[in-house]
Amino acid sequence: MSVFFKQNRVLIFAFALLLAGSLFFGWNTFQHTAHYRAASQDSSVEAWMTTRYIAHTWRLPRETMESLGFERQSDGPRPLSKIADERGVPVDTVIAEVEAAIAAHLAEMTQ
Amino acid sequence: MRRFFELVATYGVWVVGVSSFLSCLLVPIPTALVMLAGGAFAASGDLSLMAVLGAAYAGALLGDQTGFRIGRAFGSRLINLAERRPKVQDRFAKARDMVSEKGGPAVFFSTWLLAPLGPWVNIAAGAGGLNGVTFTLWDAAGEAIWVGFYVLVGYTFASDIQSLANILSNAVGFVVAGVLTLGFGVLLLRRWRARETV
Repeated sequence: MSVFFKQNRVLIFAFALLLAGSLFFGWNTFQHTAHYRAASQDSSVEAWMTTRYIAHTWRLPRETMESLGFERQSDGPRPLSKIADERGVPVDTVIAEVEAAIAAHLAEMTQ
Repeated sequence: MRRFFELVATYGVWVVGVSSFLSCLLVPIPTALVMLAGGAFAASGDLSLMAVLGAAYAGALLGDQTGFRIGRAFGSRLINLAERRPKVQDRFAKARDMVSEKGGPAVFFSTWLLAPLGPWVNIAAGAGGLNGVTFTLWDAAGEAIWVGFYVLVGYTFASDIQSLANILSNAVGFVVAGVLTLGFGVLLLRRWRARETV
């Protein structure tokens, strides 16, 4: 046994490492799958999202986004971070505005 | 993760193409996540689905071809070195035979199922003297699966790409580590048996 171990030290070490990696990634996959959530259920708007993506995810009518003063995009995507830059305000301000609009839209829907 | 989503949101399909190209050349970019985002922004109407698919596919094919050619150029130097030593030359010839015979399917699976190993396999295929046409055909088939899967999953489940990105990146790690664990396990078992018969 010990001779075999000595001769294959590197191989055994690599095997153990890979086995640990498999267990780690396997467990993580399981965890993330178990806690699966759609963004719309999470109701957290983030800086990387474009106005169209937000409208798509929360199924908002076009007017909701337009009422926020985001000009209708002519071409190409615009994430909230870019809109915040253009307006010269922190991105959290824009996110708060969008979240309020979504909440208002949802309240309207449930009435 | 969010930084890459934001890059796609800001610069569009170019990010998808460039990241797909670079990740085939060992640059550590999570192109799977970039393709998910590309698909999602296609679903929301920000990008064109065909453009996202095309950019990712073109980037991947170009990247793989580059890796293959680097391997080929580098490989011939290795061969020159090996030819000076008879023992090494013998092993080298065996390795080359294996690549020529079984290299195609290896390239195929390394483009999608075991994507993190892809760049290495491309270089090895080039160095091992795999036929260029064989490489290109297997590679094109495999990359179509890789690109198609991630972009279309992003497109279909656009609202969920954050959760999906977490699941998929861990699942890829699991499959790659699992396959390598099995491979090393089989090798160890063989050695163990060989030892017992001595």
